[in-house]
Amino acid sequence: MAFPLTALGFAWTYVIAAGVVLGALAALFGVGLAVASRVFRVHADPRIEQIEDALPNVNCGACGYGGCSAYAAAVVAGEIGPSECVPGGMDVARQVAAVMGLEAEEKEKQVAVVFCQGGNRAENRCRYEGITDCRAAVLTQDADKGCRWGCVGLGTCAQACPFGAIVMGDDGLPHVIEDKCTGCGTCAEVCPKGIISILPAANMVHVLCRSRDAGGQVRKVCPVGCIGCKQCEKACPVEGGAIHVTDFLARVDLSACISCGKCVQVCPTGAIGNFRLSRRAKRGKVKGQEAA
Amino acid sequence: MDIGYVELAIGTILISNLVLARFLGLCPFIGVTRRTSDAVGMGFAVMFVMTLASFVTSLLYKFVLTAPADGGFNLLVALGVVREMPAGGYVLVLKTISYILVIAVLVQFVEMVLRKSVPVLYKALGIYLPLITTNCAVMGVALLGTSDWKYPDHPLSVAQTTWMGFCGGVGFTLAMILMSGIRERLATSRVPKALQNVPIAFISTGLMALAFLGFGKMFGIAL
Repeated sequence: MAFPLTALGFAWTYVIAAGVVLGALAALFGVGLAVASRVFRVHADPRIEQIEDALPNVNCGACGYGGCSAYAAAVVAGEIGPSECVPGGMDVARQVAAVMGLEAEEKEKQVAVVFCQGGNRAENRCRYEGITDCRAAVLTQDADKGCRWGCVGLGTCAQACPFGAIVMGDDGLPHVIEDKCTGCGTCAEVCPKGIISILPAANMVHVLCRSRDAGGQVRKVCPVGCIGCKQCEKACPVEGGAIHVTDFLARVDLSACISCGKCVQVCPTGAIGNFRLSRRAKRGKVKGQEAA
Repeated sequence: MDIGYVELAIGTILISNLVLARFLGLCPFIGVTRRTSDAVGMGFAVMFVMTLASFVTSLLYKFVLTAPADGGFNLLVALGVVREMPAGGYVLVLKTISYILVIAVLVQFVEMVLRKSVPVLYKALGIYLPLITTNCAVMGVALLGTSDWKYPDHPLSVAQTTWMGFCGGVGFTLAMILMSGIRERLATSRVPKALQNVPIAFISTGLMALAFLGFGKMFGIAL
């Protein structure tokens, strides 16, 4: 091809070559990709992606499915209702229900409660050196604490929480930041001692101890454990009693308890915790667990 | 001296490992090695892209961009687009951009395939899959395989360049698997707070690179 402008001394060859090469490559690849996108088309219901956008995408598994994508797929398939996302709460439930054209049912707020107040106050019976993980410690001679029911204090729950709602305190105990806690249950699953439970936020009085050792035994290793003295049973004003002692451990009957706090005042070791102050509508910052 | 396939393999996988000796492709190396399963998946995706990219770019280099040696074939001249090629061919002008175009297209293709066939891996890799496009290791192996300064007398054939790309991918995957093994151990160790996660990973990479220096000039291969 003859270009009259070559007379000007301009190196048109580069321009032509660049244009042709890149243009041809682009056309070739464009067609190729278009064909490939047809062949590898993924047929997905658009509602799945809409629901996934509404979910918190933490993959905690509290809904009972393997992850947020799995839950979204199940909702669209009609297997499960739209309000099962625990961390999402009512906001997410309403959004998911809106996508599906359903009604969201009200679910009450649940929080994690740590049933131990020992921590550094409880005596150790040996020294543990190893991987900084409660599960590893428990596998190694049942950890180093004197009380075999109590918190190991190595922070597995704090690490596992997808929302950063549990932090290890200087007292060797995990503290639940109830504003951030969504009740997903990851910490409860991960704790090797099983001392974290997910309970309704409406229940405000809990016996923060799981020790079934006799009172004398508990006294030797932990100053704040439940000794099974039954003072709380006597103080409870509820008809039929909302707190009972079995196996040297007091337990609150959540269906009967009115959260009056009388048992909290009479407990000699301070094992019963009252969350009323930390949970009521507040203007200031939450301080986490407060006992007696 | 013509380079053999075994020499290319040893040279690219061990002696001049793309990640540990040339320090290319550190983004997915640090970003995807928290779990070994992710690291292996990413390694295979990169291997695929590197092999195909080396193949296509070597074709481009030999038959479009460079001036043909006596009796050689050049697509542009053959199609009559240009009458004769300038001395250095169009290498300087078109090399980088056409290579990047090829790599980007291949990565798009890999994304589509993965999304359909292994959606779990697709989700796990997340943003790091399209980032293979900007991965300097893929561009690096394409450029290294088609560099005329290295073997002016015996430029690598298309087959050798493709093999080099594949070995580059193998070396990359090897480094990723080693790193993910180390990082999984580091996750449960007592690391000072300031060094946790990425900083200790970089320090470990440096130490691994020092170890790989031990392969230098092995079997007399200078690659």
